[in-house]
Amino acid sequence: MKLSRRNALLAGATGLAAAPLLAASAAAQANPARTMRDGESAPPGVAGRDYRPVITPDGAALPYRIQGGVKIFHLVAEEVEHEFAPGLVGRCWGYNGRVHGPTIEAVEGDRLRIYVTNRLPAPTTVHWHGLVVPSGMDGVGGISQPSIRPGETFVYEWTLRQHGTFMYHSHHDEMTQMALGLMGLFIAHPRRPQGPRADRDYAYLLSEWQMHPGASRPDPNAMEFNLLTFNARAYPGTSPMLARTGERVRIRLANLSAMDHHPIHIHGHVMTVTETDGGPIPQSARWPETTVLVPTGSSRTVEFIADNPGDWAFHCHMTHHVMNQMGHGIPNMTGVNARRIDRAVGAILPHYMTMGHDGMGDMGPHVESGHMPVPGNSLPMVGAQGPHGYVTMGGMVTLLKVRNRLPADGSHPGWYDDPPGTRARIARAEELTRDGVDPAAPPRP
Amino acid sequence: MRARFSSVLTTVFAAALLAGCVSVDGAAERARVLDAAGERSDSFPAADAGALLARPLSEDEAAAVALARNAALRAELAEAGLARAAWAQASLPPNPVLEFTSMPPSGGQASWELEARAPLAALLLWPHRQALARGAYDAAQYRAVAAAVDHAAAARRAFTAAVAAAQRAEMFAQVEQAAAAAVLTVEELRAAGNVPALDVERERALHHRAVLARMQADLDARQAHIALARALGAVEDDPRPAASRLPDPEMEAPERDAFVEAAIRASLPLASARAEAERALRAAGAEGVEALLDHAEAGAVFDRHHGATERGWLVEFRPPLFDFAARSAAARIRAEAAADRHAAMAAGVRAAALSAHAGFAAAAARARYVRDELLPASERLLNETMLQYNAMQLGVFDLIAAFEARVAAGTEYVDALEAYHHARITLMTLAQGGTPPDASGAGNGAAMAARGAAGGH
Repeated sequence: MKLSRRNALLAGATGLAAAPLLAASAAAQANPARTMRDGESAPPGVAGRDYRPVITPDGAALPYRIQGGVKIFHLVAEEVEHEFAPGLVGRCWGYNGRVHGPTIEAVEGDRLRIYVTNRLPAPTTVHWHGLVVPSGMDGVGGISQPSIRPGETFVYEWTLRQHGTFMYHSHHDEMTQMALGLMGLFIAHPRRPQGPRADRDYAYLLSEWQMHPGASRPDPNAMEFNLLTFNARAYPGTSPMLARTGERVRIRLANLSAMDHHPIHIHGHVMTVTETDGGPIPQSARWPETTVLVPTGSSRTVEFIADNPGDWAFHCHMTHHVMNQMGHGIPNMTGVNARRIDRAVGAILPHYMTMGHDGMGDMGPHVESGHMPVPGNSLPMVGAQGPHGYVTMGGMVTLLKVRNRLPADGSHPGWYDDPPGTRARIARAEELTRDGVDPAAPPRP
Repeated sequence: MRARFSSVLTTVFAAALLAGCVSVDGAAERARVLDAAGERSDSFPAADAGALLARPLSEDEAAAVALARNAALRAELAEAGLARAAWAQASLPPNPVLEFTSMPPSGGQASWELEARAPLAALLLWPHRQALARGAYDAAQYRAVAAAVDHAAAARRAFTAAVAAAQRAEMFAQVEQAAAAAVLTVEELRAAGNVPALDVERERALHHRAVLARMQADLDARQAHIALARALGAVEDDPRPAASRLPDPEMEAPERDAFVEAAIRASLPLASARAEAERALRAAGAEGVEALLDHAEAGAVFDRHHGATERGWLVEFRPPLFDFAARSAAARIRAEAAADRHAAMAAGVRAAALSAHAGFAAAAARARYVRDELLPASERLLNETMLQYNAMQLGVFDLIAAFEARVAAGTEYVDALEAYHHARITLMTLAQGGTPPDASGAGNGAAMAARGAAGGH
């Protein structure tokens, strides 16, 4: 059925269903993230036929059913026990038993009806971040609607008139509720996809938390954060992205961190920034990057051809964002004579050991070996054991694994086996001599 | 007449012989007092105090040495010997007065006159004065036993204080060591270029304070040690406590009301005050007779004149026409005052027993709380700080601060234990009949009883 503006006007007086269409239609006129004409309608989009679902690493998609041509979703806001990484569990607030909430996927032109049940001890709302909706569906507590009180179920309904990478999150007591995890991804697929289809479409929600080591609930009052996550998981708890050599990979990055932007850097590849949450970037305006800055409250979509086999780090390039639960109020011990301090302090505290005098790199192995006990439920600067030693990163880090072949069941292909002669190693003496390199020579300007 | 005169003299001498049965021996009297004190307090003088002092002492041994060696205690115990001497003296008949007068010869005949007389009041009230002296002796003996019990308790307190002060000095030394470690650390940080000079000076200032605190603690320990030596009468012997730690608070508080009644029954100052009150009452009862006969004397006169001898009786009497009423009133007032002192002492002992019981219960509860709650908490705090240090959430100075907090909790325990043991000793001392530590409501026990004794005859 086609719905003209005039028809919409006529229908508007009859109820909830028509009024949002009018508003959305009017607001959508200037929106570049559209592949449908004004007034055009379409049946509910179906995965496989109308779109290829995104992969939300360590996440899930929110199921729906179709009722009378309307896609019905149901979000339940509730307290959730969430594992950020093995060894660190937080009592968070999420949706449908997950932190973050499951990814909502829909197709441009879908009529959506989303129920929200509040099982939290506090009122809440859901704001559809970046989505053009009728004002009364915008989910801002006190402005768009009364907040949803504990035990109540609200319904949001509108027609999706755009495509892109968006988010949803609480817009009631935002500082607290978002710090506790009330957010999720909202992927709107285009009704008529443009350009080459991605072989793998990954979606990430970036966020940050303050989890005091040994505590079990994120601290919403904090303005400094010690746990930086991809889809609410911190390395080494993040699952890797997989790609076969030559595949087109799309990565959607949405940032709802409280106080930080994130420059996300890829190793071994060059990405093209193709979309923002405002819509697709025209071909002529797209630009290549190895690091894409994702401001808070925004999304960026990048694409690249996975043409370089290997295990590639994919991480935020703010160095404090790749440390798990790093403390920042401690003295700078770099370069001190640890032996003297060990003797003096060890005389009163036999288990004392000076740390940080040669950096933080040994911290993770010390902790994992068990001889330096740390508070329960914590990941103090823990990374992971890699194929060639300890990975001294944590937090907003994951891996892109590019292989010529991948296991058919989608499982982890293991560590990359570098072809001979393609891995850095200790220089041999004859090489040093050959090339005139003297490691003991005084530094030259 | 001759026969009657002879019988009087015979009676007087017989009584004198009987009175001689009250013996006076200072050493024996001291031994009696110390035995009585030992029965009550289970603290007897050490047979060989020198041998005990040659090795580290327990609290009981310290009390035994104090009872054996302390000259101040011996001086206090001498009061009981003096009272016994006074009792012995009062048990003898009054001395007669003999007056001989010789006149110049007249007509070749010598003339002389002999008077033999005795004070009538002393003779008639002889049993009465003997009873008064016995009462004074009883009171003095109670005071002396109380002094011995108190002295043993004082030695125990000094022992406790010395151990506690030595423990505190150790702990302040640990704090100083921690502060020195902090200074070394910050100096290393400064040498590495990691901190400004301000941080160094801050740690140095803390170290200086720690040094001063340790110096004061050392002095306190030395003073407490000297006080212990003094309490033991062993200043030259450098007594050493065997334990380096005060024992844990193990003793349970007795049932309160039973303890209070037992303390009142056992109270030596109260018994002394009671004896003094009874003595004052007895003295007041005989004051009328004393006033009448105070200066009355009776005797015999032998007169030789011109070769003839004459015998006669002599009676001298000074009637208390003007001061009889005043003397009687004064005696009555003294008796009433002594009775009031006794009543006040009874109230004071009861209050002291209640206070000691409450004090002990509170001190025991506090010491156990520190032991069972604060000490483990400070230990856990240090452990958790270590975990957070390992997690690099806290720095080395936080760790040192947590160590100092644990030491502070240890000091708190020493303070609490010292208070507990002092309260325990006070409780035991009262149960043994010793002097209440603060008998201000009733006057200080022994001193007040002594005042009462001084106010009587």
